[in-house]
Amino acid sequence: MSQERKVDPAAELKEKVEDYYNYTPVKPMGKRDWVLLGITLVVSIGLLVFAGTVWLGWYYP
Amino acid sequence: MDSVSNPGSIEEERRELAEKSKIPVLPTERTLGFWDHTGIATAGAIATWLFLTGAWIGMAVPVPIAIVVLALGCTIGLIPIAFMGRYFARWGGEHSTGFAPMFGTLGAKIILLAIIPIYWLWTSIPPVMFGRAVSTTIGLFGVQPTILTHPALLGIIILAIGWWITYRGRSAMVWLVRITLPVMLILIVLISVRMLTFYGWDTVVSNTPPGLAPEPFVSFMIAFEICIAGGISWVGNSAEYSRLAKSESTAFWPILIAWGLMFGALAIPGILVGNIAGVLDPVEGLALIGGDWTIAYLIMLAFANITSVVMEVYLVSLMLMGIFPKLRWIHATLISLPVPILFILTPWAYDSYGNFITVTASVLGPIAGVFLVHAFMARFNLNLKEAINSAKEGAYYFTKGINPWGFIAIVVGTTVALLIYNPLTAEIHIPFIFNKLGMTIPSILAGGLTYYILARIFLVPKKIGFPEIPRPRKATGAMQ
Repeated sequence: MSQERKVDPAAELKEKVEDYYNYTPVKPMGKRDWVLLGITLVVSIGLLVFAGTVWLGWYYP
Repeated sequence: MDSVSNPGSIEEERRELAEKSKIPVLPTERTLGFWDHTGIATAGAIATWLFLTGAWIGMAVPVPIAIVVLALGCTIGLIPIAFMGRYFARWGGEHSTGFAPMFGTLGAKIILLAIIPIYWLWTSIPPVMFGRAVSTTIGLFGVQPTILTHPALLGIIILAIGWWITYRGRSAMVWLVRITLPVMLILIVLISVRMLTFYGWDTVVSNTPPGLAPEPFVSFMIAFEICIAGGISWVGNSAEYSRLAKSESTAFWPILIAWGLMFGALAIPGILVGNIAGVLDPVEGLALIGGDWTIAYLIMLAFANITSVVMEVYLVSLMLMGIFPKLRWIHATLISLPVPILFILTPWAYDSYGNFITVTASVLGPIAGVFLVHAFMARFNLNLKEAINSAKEGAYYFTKGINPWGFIAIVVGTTVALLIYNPLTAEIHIPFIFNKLGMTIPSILAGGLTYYILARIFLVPKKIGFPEIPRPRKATGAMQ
């Protein structure tokens, strides 16, 4: 960062906070994300339960 | 990563200032797309903690199961963190503003002050590994140890290099990642293949892990718990790059992919070190493969550890800038050094990694639980103006700037965690719960549920902590 600042941090904070809602928000998560998250959770939990019970049971019956 | 303005321009300075402080990064200033974020997060994941976590898990369960537990356990532990990423992407801020609704304008800073020491300890881990790796490798070539090859000195040198890159700012960090990520990925694949052929597939698949408990399922659950704790340990990093993401999805998914799935897939050398070599220090284990490969792994560790140092120094400096906005960037980065140096000299966090990670999860888990509950209750909305308003009439002022219900929920969550499991001795106090959910998940649930009940009773009816959110003027157009 340059030593000679052109921007005052305190004023910049105030200005951006005041102004933030005038900008179009970043694109939100959509339905596809929620479906993917659901699949991720089901697959992860399912595989972990399988690994901890059936698979581990094969190793150490 | 795109540059949205010319170097040296006011726009560039405004953006750089935002990236090094609590000033929100505007939607138009975002620089990270999906692949950028995935890359930078992967660079942060391929680090000391990757090999250490792998070694601890490999010590507990067979290799194929270890890979599954690492990838999926970390992914589940990371889900609260991914939601934090989504939240910070939406509002462009960091913890000192983003945590204000859950803990109060002053409370958010207290939380940060409480968790900064955790990340100082994290900062000490990569230099310790680097120092030991270089020192061990030099020793393998027959060089007598001197003060110049002392692991602590080498560790402090890499910490200094990491500090300098962090001080230089985002562009230096981006260039570092651009160079290191491909090198690390290639080397880690080569070393994984080399180790798999060195030990042989049959041994890899069938070897009994040296740390297997008399009841194998207990080992599995301890491994699972370390992975969940590993996932939740990214609380501090959740704003670091997510606030630069161009959309909520590009903040959310790279966290799960890079710090979860990739983490498990790339941890194979660490897993083999713990499982077959039977040591918890990856440096010792990797040294066993010997020959020219020691040079390859030294290069990998050098690159991996420098990016890790940069990541941790940056996040602690960012937290400090959030707490003390008048601090200069150089001072924030310098303050981030003394404690890590102390723990390079006395490497407790490195040598007791499994204990360290679960101890910290007993605190970070409930914080994540409180965050998740409040964020969903508020539909991930945040009034930025109120988040920096520490006046008595501010919406997130609560009681003297602190949301007591958030803190009470953390205490409840941590108490539940410690009642279930002692992370320092690995002693299980309540097997009925630990054998089903581990320690961290119940602590997240207990903290979150407590907060939900208290917020429903004391906050929601009085509309405290849930202010109106200003609406954008238009849904189209990039900027005014």
